Amino acid sequence: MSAADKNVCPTETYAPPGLLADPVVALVSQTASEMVFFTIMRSDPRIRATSPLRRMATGLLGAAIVFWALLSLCAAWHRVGSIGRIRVHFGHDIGDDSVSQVARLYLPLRETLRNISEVGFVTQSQDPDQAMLRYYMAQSMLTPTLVVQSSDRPVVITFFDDDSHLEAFLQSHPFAIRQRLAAGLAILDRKGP
Amino acid sequence: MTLVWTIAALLAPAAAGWFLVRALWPAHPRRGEAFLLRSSIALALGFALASAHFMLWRMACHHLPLLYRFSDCLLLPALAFFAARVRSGFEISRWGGTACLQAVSSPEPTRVASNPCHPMHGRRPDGSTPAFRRIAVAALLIITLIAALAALALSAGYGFREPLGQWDAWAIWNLKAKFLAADGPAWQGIFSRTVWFSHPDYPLLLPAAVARIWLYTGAQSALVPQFIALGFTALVMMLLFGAVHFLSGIVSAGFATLLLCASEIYLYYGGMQLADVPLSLYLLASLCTLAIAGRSDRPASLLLLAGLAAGCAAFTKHEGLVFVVALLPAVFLVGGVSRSRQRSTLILLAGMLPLFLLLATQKYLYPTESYLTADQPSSDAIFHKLIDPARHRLILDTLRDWNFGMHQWKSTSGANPITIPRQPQLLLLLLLPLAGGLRRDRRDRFAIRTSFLTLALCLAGYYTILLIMPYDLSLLLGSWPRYQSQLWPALIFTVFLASGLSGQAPEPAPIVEELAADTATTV
Repeated sequence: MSAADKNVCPTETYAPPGLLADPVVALVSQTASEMVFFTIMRSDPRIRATSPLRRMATGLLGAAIVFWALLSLCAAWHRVGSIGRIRVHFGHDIGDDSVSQVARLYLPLRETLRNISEVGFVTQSQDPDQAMLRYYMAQSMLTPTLVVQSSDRPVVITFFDDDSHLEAFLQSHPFAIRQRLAAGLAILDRKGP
Repeated sequence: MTLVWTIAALLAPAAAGWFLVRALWPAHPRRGEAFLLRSSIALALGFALASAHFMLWRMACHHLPLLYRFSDCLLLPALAFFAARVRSGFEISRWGGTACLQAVSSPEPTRVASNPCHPMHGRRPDGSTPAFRRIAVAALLIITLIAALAALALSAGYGFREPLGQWDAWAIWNLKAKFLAADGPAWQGIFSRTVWFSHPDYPLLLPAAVARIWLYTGAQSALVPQFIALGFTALVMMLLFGAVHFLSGIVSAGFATLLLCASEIYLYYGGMQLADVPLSLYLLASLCTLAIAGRSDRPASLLLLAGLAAGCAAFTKHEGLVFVVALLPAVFLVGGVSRSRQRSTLILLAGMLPLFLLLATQKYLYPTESYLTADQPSSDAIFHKLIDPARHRLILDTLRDWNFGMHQWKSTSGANPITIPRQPQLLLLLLLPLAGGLRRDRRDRFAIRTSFLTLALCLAGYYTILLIMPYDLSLLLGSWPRYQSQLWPALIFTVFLASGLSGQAPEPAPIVEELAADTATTV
């Protein structure tokens, strides 16, 4: 390999042949080369764009990326309206969204059930999704206590839509209320052996 | 005292990662230029190692003793520091970049204009860059910085909007973290069938990272997983910018970071505390370290780092295992049968080994069922799903619609359903090679081909797994954007590396001047 060959940078790009011969293309490229973003793209010696058309294309693409990034971020901020919410929630552990509202109900139970390895869980709701959310959230908030979907445990958590369902459950099952936390939500202890 | 421990818990992994990367990063004239790149890799690996260390103790003792804290905060950084010191004694590494250095050390004035690799290209004869160009680059960097900060704030905004995160966060990852933070044998409830919905077989890097901090703070604050999620999102941005800057130049780095910042759904997942963002960080770290290794004459230590990052990916999510399964054959296939490439594959494998062993230990000590196989009625059912044209069509339609369609994506879970419009980032990314051409840098060829093949194999793996999943496919496909987000930063990096937009990075002028001076003195 000759010394001259060694000086050639190993990086090369494919350039479409003959485009420069077209005076219109050359004129457009020359004009576009003065564009701000084209200037940016050229300003880095590492950027290889061998033909004016290609340089124009890369410049426009760069402009598109910058434009899209700023536009999408602005749109996202507008959609989320996060600024106000950040002010509201900063420093608080749990927010006021529907999932957090369910989670908040279980907070007082964490200390009470800390030393119990397993508790039962009974729920009922007109909305099946809400019933599932109550169960999964109970497990999430009361971990490491295992929450089993069953009334066959010495300690059971009930989470009904209202107290009338809780009373009906107490009449048909041998449990006594240990602690009532909210409407339909209570910790029950099994009566007798 | 709690505050001191918490600060120590945050600083110790950073120090351990820093010394580890220092030990494995070869000497290079542009080492300073790689500061951002090395810092982000160091932080990512440091926190992964701290999580692995936590898991080792967790599996060994039910009650974590005080000794654990000393081991975590002192032993890990000390070991890494020792490795860095030992390494510095042997550190004589030559890089492929020196060829370029030698070339420009005897500059030919006529070549400067035609050779964009030349450090003097685009500069005045005295070496300075025209003011308007400096201003243009500065403007781009300022825009990138503002966009990155806005993107992080947006991600945090999503997090504050739903502090408990999306379903995967509160019902899987943070639930596991609560088990891991528990004192006594109760932590083993993580593998109980009662919590089947949290997938007891999942790897535990992210929950261990959260539980570790909770252990030091003494309270299970929801702010900790939010903080960690935001940290990982920021690290991905830093790493992408640093890696593209190091390999392709600062302007390309700006555009690559802007593309990531424009990906609202990625920021959303970051804010929702999902493990897909940490996974994407480790995939990116692995591929970019592999690319940098391609430029080194002695790439063994960098390959080890790439393997370690791939191991971290496998210890983050099962999709990380898919990545590992894709990466190894890709390296093997692209490298061919040459002995050096076989050696590369082995070194990569050696890097993966520590976290692989940890994952294997978890699976061995606590065997649980995987939902992928547990609910399959029979092996015939898998075969029928594989050849069902309707399933293929459904997946392909989803891929097309998500990437090129005009519909909107709606979050199916979470307290506040969110609608994110389809975004043209992939189109913009695909236009890059069309606009800038393709690159023919011989040193990067291996990395580019390996990265593309790995990502393609990953996609093929995701496709196949979706195909055979024993659940409602249309519901599963609602998570497709999440799967794609795992590969998104790595794809941006690979396309920027492959496109002709980026050329060979020149060496910084001061070193060139020094070499030129040396040459002149010799002559």
